[in-house]
Amino acid sequence: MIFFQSELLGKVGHAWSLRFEQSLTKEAKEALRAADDAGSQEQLIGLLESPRWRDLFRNDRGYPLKRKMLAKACQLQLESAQYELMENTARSWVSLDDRDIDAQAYLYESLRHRPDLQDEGVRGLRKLLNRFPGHLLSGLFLARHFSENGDEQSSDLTRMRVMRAAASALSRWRIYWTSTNKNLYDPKQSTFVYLESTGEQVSAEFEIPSDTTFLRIDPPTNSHFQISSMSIKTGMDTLSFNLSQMEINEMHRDGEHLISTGAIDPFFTTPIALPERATAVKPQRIRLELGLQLEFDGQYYALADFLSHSS
Amino acid sequence: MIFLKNLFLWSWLITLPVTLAGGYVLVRTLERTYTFHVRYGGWTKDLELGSVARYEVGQLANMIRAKFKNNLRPLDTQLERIYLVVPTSNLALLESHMPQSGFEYVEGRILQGNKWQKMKIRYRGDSSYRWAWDKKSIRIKTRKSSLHDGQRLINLLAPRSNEQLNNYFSYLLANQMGLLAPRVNLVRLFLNGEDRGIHTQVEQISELSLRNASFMPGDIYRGELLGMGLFLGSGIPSESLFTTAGVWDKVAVNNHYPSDSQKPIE
Repeated sequence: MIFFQSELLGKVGHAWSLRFEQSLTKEAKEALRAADDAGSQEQLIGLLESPRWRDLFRNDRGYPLKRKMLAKACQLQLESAQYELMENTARSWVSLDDRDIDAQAYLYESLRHRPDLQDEGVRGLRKLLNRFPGHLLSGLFLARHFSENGDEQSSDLTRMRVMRAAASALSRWRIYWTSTNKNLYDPKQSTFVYLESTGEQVSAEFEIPSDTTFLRIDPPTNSHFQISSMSIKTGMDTLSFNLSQMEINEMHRDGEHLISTGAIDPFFTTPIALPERATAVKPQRIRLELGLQLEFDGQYYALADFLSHSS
Repeated sequence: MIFLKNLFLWSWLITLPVTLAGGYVLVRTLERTYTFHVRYGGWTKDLELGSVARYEVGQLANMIRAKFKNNLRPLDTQLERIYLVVPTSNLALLESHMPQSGFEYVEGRILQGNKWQKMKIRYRGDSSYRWAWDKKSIRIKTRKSSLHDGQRLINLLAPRSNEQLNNYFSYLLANQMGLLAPRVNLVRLFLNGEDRGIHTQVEQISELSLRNASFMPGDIYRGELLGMGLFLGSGIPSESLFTTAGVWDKVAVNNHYPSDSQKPIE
């Protein structure tokens, strides 16, 4: 019976979901590109209001794309000072997911620009930032509020505090390794590491088997940063890695940089050949060094400046 | 020749039921796979087309067996029975865009003594095994004036694994040891007269739990950073649940302190 042809049905099912996802991705990319190129939100809003996209809710396969489009629409409306429209967009976003902190930040920011609702907006941003001290968007909006009211000291303090908190959340990474010739990873062969500042870079030390063939490096979820360089020190040897050769998941490349913009499961993988690989397998202590910058208000700041120094 | 002719003439007795059963399984398989795998993006192996097809064939066989068996021998159970009635239109609302639509309460009634009392009902649970299959986990919310066993929020859970009694025994043991734990019971659930099988009735922890256990006043904190509990965009890594006070809220509030005070966990 056809219902028991697992392999065949598996392939059909896979092709079905892939096609579904690809068609959503194509539509979203076109709308986002139009928004980026022309700064126009019409195509974006039109797509969001179409029945197919209106019927996408949190955790649906296409929701991450819808979320990106909602964020872009809010951003464009903020830049063009269409605060009432921005409030509507943000409210419909919050109604889709009341645990989306970006959506709430955009909503409060839209209220902050409405003379009759300004207090509510500022109060909301403060509350959000108290609850999520590393939330960059709320920090940015609140810092702008202080700055617009001539309170540069509070503005700088807010920026500093939010970047410190974001840096702290960004310091715990997970490293997986494998000794097979395949790019497959098992949580049992992984370790959590804490990044520390080593001057201009950040680094972490850990042990991996000397016959390791691949590494997978998982930054924390929800983080915004770019990586400009990566090397591994083992004893006297230094292995440098070309970031443009890395396999990436939920990250993107910008020239020689790897960038994460708040994804849920970002990671990158690389083949590795340790110098002592030819000898008997034993744990080998290595130091991972990263040139890592935190993104805030469109600018990148060295993470090393916000972390404690390694001893 | 006549035998062959008769065989052909009466072959519909086999082919028609097989075609109907095949069509039924096919439609249900495609619907379930589209909803939970293609659109929702459920990533578990169980929700892939092949697994769903096998599940639907098994469910059809179960349904036929149950119909025969129940007609021959009426249900005999010593478990407490819970009878619910929910209008078909409300059930359709729950099913309209699964799983998300299933989490919005709809109205129904629950039999308490001889009275049908108003209540609200929805599906519950973070993972697909709670709501992607025919036997679903349910939450009931009674009216304040008609609590069910002293509880207002009651979960009727479809077990999540083959070890169907693990959670039941854990809660039972905790209760017998005098620990503050959800009250638990095994019940037989009937929805609109249809036997939905055995469910684990688990109390939803709330202020009533403290009141029933004479632990008032006190705070109960709730926090989750996985699945639907994730705060998107927050910058809080999902492994930071126990180091981040901001992601916790309260389901019971000690009224000696401000309701937004989180001193004990900060």
